[in-house]
Amino acid sequence: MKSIVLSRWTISIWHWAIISANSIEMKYNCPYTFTQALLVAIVVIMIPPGLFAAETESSSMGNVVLPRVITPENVQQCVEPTDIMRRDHMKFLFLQRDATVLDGIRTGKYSLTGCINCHAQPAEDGKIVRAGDPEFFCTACHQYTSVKIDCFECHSDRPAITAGQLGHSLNTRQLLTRIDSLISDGVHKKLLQQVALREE
Amino acid sequence: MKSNHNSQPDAVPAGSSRRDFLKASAAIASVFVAPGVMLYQTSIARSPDQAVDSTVRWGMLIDTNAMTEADVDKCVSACQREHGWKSTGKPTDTQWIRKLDLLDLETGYKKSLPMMCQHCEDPPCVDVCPTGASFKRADGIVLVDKHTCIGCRYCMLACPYKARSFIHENLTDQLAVAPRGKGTVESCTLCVHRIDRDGVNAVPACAEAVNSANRKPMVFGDLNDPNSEISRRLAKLGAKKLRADLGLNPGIRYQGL
Repeated sequence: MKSIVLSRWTISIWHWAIISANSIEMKYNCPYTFTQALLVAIVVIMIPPGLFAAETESSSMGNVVLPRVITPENVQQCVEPTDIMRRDHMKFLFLQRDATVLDGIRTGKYSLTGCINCHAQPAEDGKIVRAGDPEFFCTACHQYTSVKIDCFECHSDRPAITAGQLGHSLNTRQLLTRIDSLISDGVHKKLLQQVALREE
Repeated sequence: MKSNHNSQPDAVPAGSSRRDFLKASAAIASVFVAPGVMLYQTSIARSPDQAVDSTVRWGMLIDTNAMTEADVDKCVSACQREHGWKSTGKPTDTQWIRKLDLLDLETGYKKSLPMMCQHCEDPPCVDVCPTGASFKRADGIVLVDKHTCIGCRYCMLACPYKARSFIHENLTDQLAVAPRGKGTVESCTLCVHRIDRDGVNAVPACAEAVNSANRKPMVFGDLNDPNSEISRRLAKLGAKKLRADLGLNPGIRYQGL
């Protein structure tokens, strides 16, 4: 699409350039080289955007920070294929949000807690990336697409469980059961102590 | 019932529960009392992937005689741990649950009781909400949908129990089970995340903190089910609804006031 628009634009510039160059030659009786020089100049001006467009489409995102995609070992795929998730994750989340808040259905597979449990796991170097950080899974793409979300003003941006405890089928009930077993192990008390220490 | 049992021993095998037997008896009784009308609706635990419905109405019975002041403090701190809120002593503090101290000026008699959202049947907070964020779930739990709450605080004014509070400042490190954020109103959810997970076996965090094997001052359960512990205790000893004159029919009941 982009290349078609670009080529139409180029052709119309080309026509304009030839017509105006001919009229200049006729008016001032310029040598033929003026048209040549003009055409060369136009070609030189046109080339860089074309090259830039090709580059953007094919590889890097320029200065955009790419998201840290952290996939736990025992999870092969997200709840839907990647292309569907890219396009429709917000619809899934909105639908499930209402089902959960209004109707108390917490078994759906599109829970935000589920997203965070997988996608906000600390990296191998132990670095915890928070929601405000451009490297955070959600933030990276949203920054690039200029989307502003406020999910993490209320919702937790840190996984409730660690990567080792993730199995497949990101079922909230299973996750909650796992979280419960962790709670009975006293893990949450240690975490709360850490939080309290940090706040002091 | 006994003759029925004797005449058809196979109808109630040794392994079947007493509850099933009672249900069957009730169904037979209803045929004789008024065809097509059940004497009561038995609550059947909903499947976790089905929407909540009004066959249950969750409520809690608080026996204030059995609760000491320390117990009330335990309730408050358990709620804070469960949902990740804390008090700083300011008048605008978050208050999902608070300790209410009562003093009889005549006799000097003191009593403390836990005060939180009373989960009214006709909640005034829902009546006044301009966006529909304040709502009553089908199973009787009154909640705030913070996605639609605009923070106008009408519900806080409307609530006769002062059960709701407003979040004035940005928060960090909220817990996954209790999303909370600036600009929204919040209150006791009756530990709705536990109820959705455990159903009739759920115990809210405050009740869990004070109940023990040999005493149970806070009983959570289904007010619609006459066989639930809460209904049986209410039937036996009765209880007060706070500000009963307002006709809101709260789901939290107090004994010993």
